[in-house]
Amino acid sequence: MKIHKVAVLGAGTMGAGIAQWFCQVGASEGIQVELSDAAEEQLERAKNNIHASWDKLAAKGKFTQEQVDSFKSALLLKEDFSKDCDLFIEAIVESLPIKIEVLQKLSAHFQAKTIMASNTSSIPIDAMARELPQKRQGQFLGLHFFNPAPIMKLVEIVQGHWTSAELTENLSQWFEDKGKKPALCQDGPGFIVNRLARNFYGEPLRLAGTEDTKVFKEIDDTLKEVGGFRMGPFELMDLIGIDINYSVSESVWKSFYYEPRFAPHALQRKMVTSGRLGRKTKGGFYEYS
Amino acid sequence: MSTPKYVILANRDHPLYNELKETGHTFYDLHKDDPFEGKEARYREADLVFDFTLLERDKKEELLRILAIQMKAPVVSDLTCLWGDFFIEKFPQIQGAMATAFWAPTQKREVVAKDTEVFKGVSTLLKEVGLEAKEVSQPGHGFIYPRTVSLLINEACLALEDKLASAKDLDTAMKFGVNYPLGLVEWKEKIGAKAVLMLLDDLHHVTKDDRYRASVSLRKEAHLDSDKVQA
Repeated sequence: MKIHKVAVLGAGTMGAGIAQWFCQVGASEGIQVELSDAAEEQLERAKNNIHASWDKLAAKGKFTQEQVDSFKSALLLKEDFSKDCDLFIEAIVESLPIKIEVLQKLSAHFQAKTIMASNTSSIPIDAMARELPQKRQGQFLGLHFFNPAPIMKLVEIVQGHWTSAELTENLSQWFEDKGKKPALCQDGPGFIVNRLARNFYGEPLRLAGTEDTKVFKEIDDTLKEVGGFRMGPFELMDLIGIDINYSVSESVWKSFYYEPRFAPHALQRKMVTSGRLGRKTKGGFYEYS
Repeated sequence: MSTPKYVILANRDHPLYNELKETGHTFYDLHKDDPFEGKEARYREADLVFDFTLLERDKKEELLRILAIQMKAPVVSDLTCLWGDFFIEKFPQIQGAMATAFWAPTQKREVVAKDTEVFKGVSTLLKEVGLEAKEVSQPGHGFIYPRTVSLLINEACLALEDKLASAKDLDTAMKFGVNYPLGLVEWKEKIGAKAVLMLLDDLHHVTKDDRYRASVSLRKEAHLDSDKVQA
């Protein structure tokens, strides 16, 4: 599989991270990465952040100045993408109607062979694919990156009902060649990680039962010291944002027709309704000064 | 200072069986020994009796009932797959509980002790088999690590049943997407399907909550493993 030109829509944390990663792994072989966003100032901010990150990494000796210069040349800010992109990834707001509108518009814009992908973490791939022209459906799939995209090795390659199996296999190989760890999966709620990890939060919440920092700490410490997890569930929820974690829990639970094993916990709702969302509000399961 | 006298009761299902057998302490294999016969009753002089049996609830209760009649020494029981809080309340001779029946990626295992002497005793024995005691306040039902990881493993089994992805891809995703030390399928292989099923079944039995309902494939694997052991 040859990829020469990549288009990324959405210059938020995920979109910028994805664009940065493609530049880092593709610049040496001439891959161009076009980044676009509906908000011009967001796009400029993303570029500055990416450039700053590369400069920092060069100062640390992770990249040479020559490499950084080539990365910067590979990153192009665009209002309109080139028609001949080989791969397009949308990383915009998690709203199905907005994604459909954008995908339909760009499907008409790109050449027929452009692979189109969504970085969604919660919207079924088929819900988007069904709204695309039939000839495009085989070339549409999910590419779910993890934050921070330039560092986290996983990319979930989500095969929708219409996605060509050959395409997912080839892309899987391509990502592996470029240093990612691809995991191929079907189009199910939460894909792999957001489904399988639910009870890393759900069960400790049930073990704790009520709000008690001492208990949260005991659970966090035990799962790190005995289970070998890098972070405990409560400190991790505080880092992710309790509201975001709660919303994913609710989404997966609803998608599984209210299966009890995915049910959110009352303590999550209590934290969200009181506005204690974790590190970003300086207080969640733990207090942060 | 005299060497503490420990009596160890174990069955072959317990993952520490071989290591415990080599410690040099009085050791009874409950598959073949009857430690409660008069001539075998060396446990009467023990400082601590360690119960390293991996048994279902009824059988564990039966064993602990016999121990209560037969001996005076405090008991430290492995309650990894059972409702530890209930057992500790029901059997006053249990002075400590351990979660050592689940393999873990670290050397630490959860231990509950009613006093420092018991904790010291458990720590000493665990050290002899290369492990370290991590003191927790209560066993709850399945302690913290075994209970949490059982639910994660069960979900991986359900995802395989749903054909969401291959075992390899499920493991890749959890290791490289959320930095788990192992993939959940390989984690299950390390712990053994039987122990995971035992804990989930006990949680399901006690709570009647379907969130603990074990996957069919996990149950099948556990039964096949049991058949292999018996064969």
